[in-house]
Amino acid sequence: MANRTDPLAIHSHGFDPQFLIDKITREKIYQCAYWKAECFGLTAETVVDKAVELTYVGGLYGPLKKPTPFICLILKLLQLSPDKEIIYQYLQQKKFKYLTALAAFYWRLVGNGVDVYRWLEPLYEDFRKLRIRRENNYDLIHVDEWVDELLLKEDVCDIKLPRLPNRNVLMEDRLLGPRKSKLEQELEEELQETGPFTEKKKLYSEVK
Amino acid sequence: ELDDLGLELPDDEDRDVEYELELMKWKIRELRRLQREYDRDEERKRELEEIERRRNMSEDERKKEDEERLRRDEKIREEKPKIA
Repeated sequence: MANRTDPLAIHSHGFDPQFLIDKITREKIYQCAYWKAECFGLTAETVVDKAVELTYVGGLYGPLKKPTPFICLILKLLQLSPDKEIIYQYLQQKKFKYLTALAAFYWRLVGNGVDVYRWLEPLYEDFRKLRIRRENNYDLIHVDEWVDELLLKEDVCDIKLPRLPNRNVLMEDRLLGPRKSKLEQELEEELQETGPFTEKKKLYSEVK
Repeated sequence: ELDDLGLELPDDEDRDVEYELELMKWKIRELRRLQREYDRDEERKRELEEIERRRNMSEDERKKEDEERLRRDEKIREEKPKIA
């Protein structure tokens, strides 16, 4: 059967990662033309070729709730379950923004809390434009807004995201430092005195 | 550029000439997020301070405060106009 998950992937997750996408959406993807024509026999390397061809992100669209190529590729990645390092490379490359968007979404689905924040937050600095396909129209957003949606919302692109631990909790457990924005650094240099932002760091060093 | 349903795709090209403008727009978004994070931290700080304050009180003091709060809430409830 073509829609099988990599057996090793099932082992490492404890369940079939394809189940991260609900059954109805999954069935829709298996039935759609893009999946059948373009996704068959893809590997972790060749899936990149398809990802760079993406022209928008999105979930289900139109009156028939058709799956976008974007979520087809998400399901494909769940089947393939490529190594962490490969996903990291997808996120690191600066050439193809839709590959970045795809990898970010995938990582939000499979990564653990700390790793999700660590890998996705640097993308807050990335303001390249992205098209997002809604039900009946397109919106223009930016990579930083995309990441913000992934980290804050429960549903993105008609897919329910796994629960993400609160950032505060991870900071208090000292698993994560405060997010350091480039803009914040810039402002601090300009102010050259103790502004409200320095208190933020103090708060978490006081917590035991 | 049209898609499969005949909808027009918005322009998503990142041009060098728009860089400064896009950077400004990004700064506004980023500032909003920083403000949000700051508010969240302040909220958490207040929460921790409150927990600490209650911890440092004796059992009687805590009880007294709880009763006062209950009375206050009761009063507010009574003063509220009832739905006819």
